[in-house]
Amino acid sequence: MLNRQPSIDDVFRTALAPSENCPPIEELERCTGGERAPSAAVAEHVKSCAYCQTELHLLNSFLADDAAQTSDERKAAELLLQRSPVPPAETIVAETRIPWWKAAFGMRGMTQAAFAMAVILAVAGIVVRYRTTSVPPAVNQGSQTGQEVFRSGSFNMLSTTGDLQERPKEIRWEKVPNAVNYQVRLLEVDRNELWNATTREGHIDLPSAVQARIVPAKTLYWQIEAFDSSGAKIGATGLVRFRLLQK
Amino acid sequence: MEQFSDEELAERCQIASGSAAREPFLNALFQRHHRRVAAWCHHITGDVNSAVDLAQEIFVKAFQGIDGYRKGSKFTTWLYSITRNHCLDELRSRKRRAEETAEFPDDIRDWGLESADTMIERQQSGDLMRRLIRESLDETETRVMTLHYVHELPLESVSRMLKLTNESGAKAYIVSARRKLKRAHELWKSRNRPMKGCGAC
Repeated sequence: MLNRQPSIDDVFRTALAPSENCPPIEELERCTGGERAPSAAVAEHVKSCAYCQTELHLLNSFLADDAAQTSDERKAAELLLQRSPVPPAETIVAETRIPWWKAAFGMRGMTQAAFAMAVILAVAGIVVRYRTTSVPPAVNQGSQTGQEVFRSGSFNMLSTTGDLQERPKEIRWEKVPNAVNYQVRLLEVDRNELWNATTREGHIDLPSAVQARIVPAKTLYWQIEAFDSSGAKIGATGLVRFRLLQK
Repeated sequence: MEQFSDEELAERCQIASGSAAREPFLNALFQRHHRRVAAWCHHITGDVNSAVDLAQEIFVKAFQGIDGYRKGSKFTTWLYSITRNHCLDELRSRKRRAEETAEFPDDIRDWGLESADTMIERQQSGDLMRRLIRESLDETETRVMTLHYVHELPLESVSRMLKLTNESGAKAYIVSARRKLKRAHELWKSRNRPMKGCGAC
């Protein structure tokens, strides 16, 4: 293997790099003039170490920078304040989770005809459900050994994937037969969950707080899982990457 | 919330971990420190929108990891270390995207250090350079050199970070520091000429 000739920059780098004697930042903090003084050894080391002196200067300037100095810094602080990145403790519940009875009785001006139609549909639904559950389905006549494992299938997102020009307001996906619920998750690349919600539809509107978290050039993932009436998972999209392009 | 110190707010966030009860405490910490994080990110990026994105990522990271904060140190020091590391990571990834060209043409031969090609010789030349830096450079030159050569910060970021107001910013300090070090090294060589086998000679 060829040995690269060190450059003068390499010599500077070696001379200025931290050594094993450099204290951690929690120790260095004591040199900022707080209640606790640093140990004599740390104080002595910092006096002669270019790396620690620089670190200490940066820490002091961070501590002193509680008011933005320039107009651009003030603007950045104001914009940041508008975004408020405090993560919700509980996941944000989507509007689609309002109980059906609340939505139905909350509607004004519902006509008798619509109500009658709802009753008919409800009765029809009960009949269909009774029939389908009372007759066991013959899934595959040729292989009914009792040992089959029904694996959940995959389905696709229909929107909001890849590189996006505009910040999305809703997302859509293929509906899965027999799915009664879909769990939607928005994840960061390290799989930190930014948001989740549950819906019965094949789409969901993104609350403005969630839209605000979709910032330009940041790669994020969707993950949607479909569940049947018993709560069993019957399908998933896997991780679907997307990113809002920087303008 | 004003009656609580940063450390008390952080502790209350930890106690209320996983519940909505922690949000007012996180909000209070955010209100207190958003300016300093935004300003710091602006020093690094030099651009308002990128600074806001970066600052937002820092707060999300800090608040998601608030259970990892340990009471022994100040909350601001903990937030500083997250800010510093996140910003340096961002700069490194930017640098990979667009490698900065070397702006200082003199190479190791101009310094008479070309024989420092073994580990021990490099260590010796590093020790010597450390001493020359300590003896020859002022505080600002030392900081500029450290931020540029160790942290690999672009010169314009160094200028903003150290609030350098001279026309050519950090570049002028690097030129001056290199000139001083070269002179100091020549002086050292003239005094130590008889020494043999020193990698720095």
